[in-house]
Amino acid sequence: MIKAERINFSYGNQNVLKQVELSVEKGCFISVIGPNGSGKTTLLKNLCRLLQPQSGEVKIDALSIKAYKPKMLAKKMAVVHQEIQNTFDFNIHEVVLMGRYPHLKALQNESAEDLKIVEKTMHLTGIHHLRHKSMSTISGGERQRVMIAKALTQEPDLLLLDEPISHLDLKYQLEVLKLCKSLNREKQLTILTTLHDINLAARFSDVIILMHHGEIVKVGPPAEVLTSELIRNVYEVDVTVIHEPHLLVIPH
Amino acid sequence: MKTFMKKIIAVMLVAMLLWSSVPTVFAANLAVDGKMQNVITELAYGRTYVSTQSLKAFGLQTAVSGSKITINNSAVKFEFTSRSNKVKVNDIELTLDAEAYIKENIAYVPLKFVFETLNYTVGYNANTRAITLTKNAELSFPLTITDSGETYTFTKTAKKIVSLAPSITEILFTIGAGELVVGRTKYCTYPAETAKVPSVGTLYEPNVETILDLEPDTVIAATHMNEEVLAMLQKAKISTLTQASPAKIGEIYTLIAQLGKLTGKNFEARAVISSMKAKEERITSIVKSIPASQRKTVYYVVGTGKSEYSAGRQTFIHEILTDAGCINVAADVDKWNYSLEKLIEHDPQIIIGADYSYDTMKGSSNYSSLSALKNGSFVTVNTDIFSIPGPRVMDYSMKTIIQKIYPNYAGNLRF
Amino acid sequence: MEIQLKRRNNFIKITLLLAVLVIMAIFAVTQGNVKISVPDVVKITLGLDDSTTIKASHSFIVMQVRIPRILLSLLVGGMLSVIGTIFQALFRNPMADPYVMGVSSGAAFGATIGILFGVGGTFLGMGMVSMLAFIGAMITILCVYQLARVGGKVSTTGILLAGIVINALLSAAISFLMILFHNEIDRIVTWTMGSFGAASWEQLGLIFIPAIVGVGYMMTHARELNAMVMGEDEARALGVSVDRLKKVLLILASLLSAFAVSVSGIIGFVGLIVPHFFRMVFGSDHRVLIPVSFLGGGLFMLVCDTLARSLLNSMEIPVGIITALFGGPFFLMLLQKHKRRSEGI
Repeated sequence: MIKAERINFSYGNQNVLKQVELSVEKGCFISVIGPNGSGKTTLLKNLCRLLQPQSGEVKIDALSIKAYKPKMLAKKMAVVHQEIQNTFDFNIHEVVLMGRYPHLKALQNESAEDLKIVEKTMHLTGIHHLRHKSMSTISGGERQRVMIAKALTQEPDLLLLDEPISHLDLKYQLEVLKLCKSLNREKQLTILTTLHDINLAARFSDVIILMHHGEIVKVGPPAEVLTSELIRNVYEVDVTVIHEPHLLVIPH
Repeated sequence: MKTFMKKIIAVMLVAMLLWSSVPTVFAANLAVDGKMQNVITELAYGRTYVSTQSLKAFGLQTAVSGSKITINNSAVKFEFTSRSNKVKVNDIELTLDAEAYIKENIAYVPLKFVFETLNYTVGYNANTRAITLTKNAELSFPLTITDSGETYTFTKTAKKIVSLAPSITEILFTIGAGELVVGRTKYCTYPAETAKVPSVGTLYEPNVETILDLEPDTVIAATHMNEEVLAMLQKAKISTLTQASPAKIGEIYTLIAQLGKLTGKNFEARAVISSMKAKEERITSIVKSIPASQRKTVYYVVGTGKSEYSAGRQTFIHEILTDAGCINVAADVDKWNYSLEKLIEHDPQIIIGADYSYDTMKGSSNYSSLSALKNGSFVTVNTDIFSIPGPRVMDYSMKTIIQKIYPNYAGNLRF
Repeated sequence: MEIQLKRRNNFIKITLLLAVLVIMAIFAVTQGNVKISVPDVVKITLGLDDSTTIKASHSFIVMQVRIPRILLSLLVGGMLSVIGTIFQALFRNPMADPYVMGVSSGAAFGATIGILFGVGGTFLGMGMVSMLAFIGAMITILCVYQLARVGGKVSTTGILLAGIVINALLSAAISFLMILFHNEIDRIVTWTMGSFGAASWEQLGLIFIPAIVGVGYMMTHARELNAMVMGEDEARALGVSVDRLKKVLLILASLLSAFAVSVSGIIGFVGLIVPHFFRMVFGSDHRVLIPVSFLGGGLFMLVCDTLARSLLNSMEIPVGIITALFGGPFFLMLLQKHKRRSEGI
């Protein structure tokens, strides 16, 4: 449903993405991994139009991303970032409610329908009991779930996540990924996320994209991508890969 | 033999002295608007006097009672006192630089003063050796005053005035228009009667409500006031007049004359101007007699400390200093900005300023090289008075300079 | 439903605020340096005055001096607060106030030029000095905008920095001019301290429509501002046209602040503290916060100006001093709260 065709992107003189091509199918759970500087986040930003590639095209449902008006695009895809700097206090309910923005006209008030959707996503992400609290009083994991709830409230077809769990405790890392997985399975929500942790990526993804120096080195199911040879080339680390009981990469 | 000669010389000297102070009588020629007239005049104290009897020919009534000399017509009244330089014109009191006197039952009063007050221009024709008197045009309304490119028209005399400048307030009271002043700024503190007049704030932050409540017909300011406030006053049908602050002594006379016209106190205004001009003339002649070698270099302190402010060219204080025979070292700049370095380089003989300026200078090593400070040649004056371009320019400012800097010549001031 | 309850609560609070404002405005008409009795004031306002029972000057004072001044202070206070609210959201910076784009120093510079070199005369109720202040503010806004622009986008950090630089430059220029023309220092400093002393119906007529239209338009973008507060990227992901929004709101808000400054000089703290105060009471939802800031800012300014013109009998205190006296302690409180919160994390 989302395609990147020969994307080239540079920050000033620095060429960060080189001829990147990828195709994401509906209902897929895809992780993008690679060392720092490999271009993961830049790729994600190009895919959600936060950045514009110097050459190449991003297509969503066969239509160029440039043709989408901002609200249209926001109904198609939602983005969850690494961390939000929140200086002002909204409460949880207000934040999640913002997800309905793409669906509302300028002066239109939220309808009962909108409020119901918010209730649903809050329950789905397990934060309903926090809805009156302000953002600064909840934990990091809870905050991330709020952002996911907000993204879900947009009712998107595609959810993009940028390092969503990097500074969360293990417990919350698993919580968030499990949530994403269940949404993916039960709601057919296409998920594309960049991840740091190779093993978590292996555990939850259908497809892994391995990047290195701005290029895609390998795309495929985890077992195909996570070979000791490829990992040595990209990460410069010797590892042992075991496949039972499930795929695990153990560095030496 | 020697002592005898000394005695003769002494007697001759005394006789000469007595002779010079005795008024010389002569029947002079007077040309009034071209027509010749004969009047009795005398020369005394360096001024021409006219006998009160001669004034009858000009439609004036005169009376002498004891030492009181009264001259009046339907519009104006003079009250001189013999052997005194004080005179009363209508309700105002002035000091002149010459005394009226009575000799052999005839009263003599200063000619120029009386006729200038009566709206004549007094001159002297050297060819015909006659004093010329030319009547000036009488005042009538509408009155047009032009100032700094703006023209103001008045259709009648002002009856209730709010004054927004100390110089204006002072002049109004001096010409006897004090009871027309219904409002003043908090800085208008001279003369003492101003204390009874309510304050309306300051020029830049006037209290519009208070001004309006006083229901004046005219508001006068000395410098541009806030335009929106101006518009508000005009909306309330109040006439406004903005006069640029005088930068020359001559402009002070113009200002006094205009305020006299505006308030209908024309005789008083002309009297004040005449007395000021006479004093100015006397000071000029005194200064002429001071030899160049005795002239002092001076510096006037407007402000000191962090930066130096003095009276450069194009300020009326500069004119005061030079007219009073001083050499103003700050004449190498225009207006008010000066510099410490220049002051040190010029090293004036005398520094004139307020006592707090003296403290500032004494308290800082920056000024330690100035010989005026080392020699104790700092002349303390009231700089508030100095900074007001008004009648006290003669009576206080110039007089103080002569007295403090050329004390040997101060005896000739006569006021 | 909770939201209905919340909306009802807000409605009540806003109505209360409006009521206080109206009462305060009525009270303010009776205050001033000239004592005019309350029944007289009522008669004059209702047009029932005749010159026999009430002094003509009193009627003039009430109708031409006090009432336009009260309305003007309400309007300007409201404008400044709304602008402050908008800037605080756009820049995601609690320290942002209406003058971040250099409007204050630009206007002060224009006014200084007007005071030193200008001729007199008024145009549509605005004196020369006010006109030049407005022009100065506009030119400064354009300069800051250009400096901060990269391609088609405007960087908020860029604006803050450019604003600081231009403020510094112009302030230095003004100080220099004050030294050169040091006998006009009084006049220049008085102007910068802010005052409604010159208020008139003409001035009110001039800014009334731009103010209402401007604030109204900004209201329509309230929801987008909520999203902006979460972050520019967040807002974009939600479908907000961030770059267009920034451009439009920045220019519109700066334009309104230029109007405000040219009419009343530089009055600080209103645009800074009023939004913060009402955020604490009403929350951060801009759909409520903007109208509330407008009302609250107007009320605050009205109170300060009424004090400014009636506290001392002999003179007017520049209203900027009163707002600072209120604002300073409040700001300290804010800092304390912020410190405590950040230490708690």
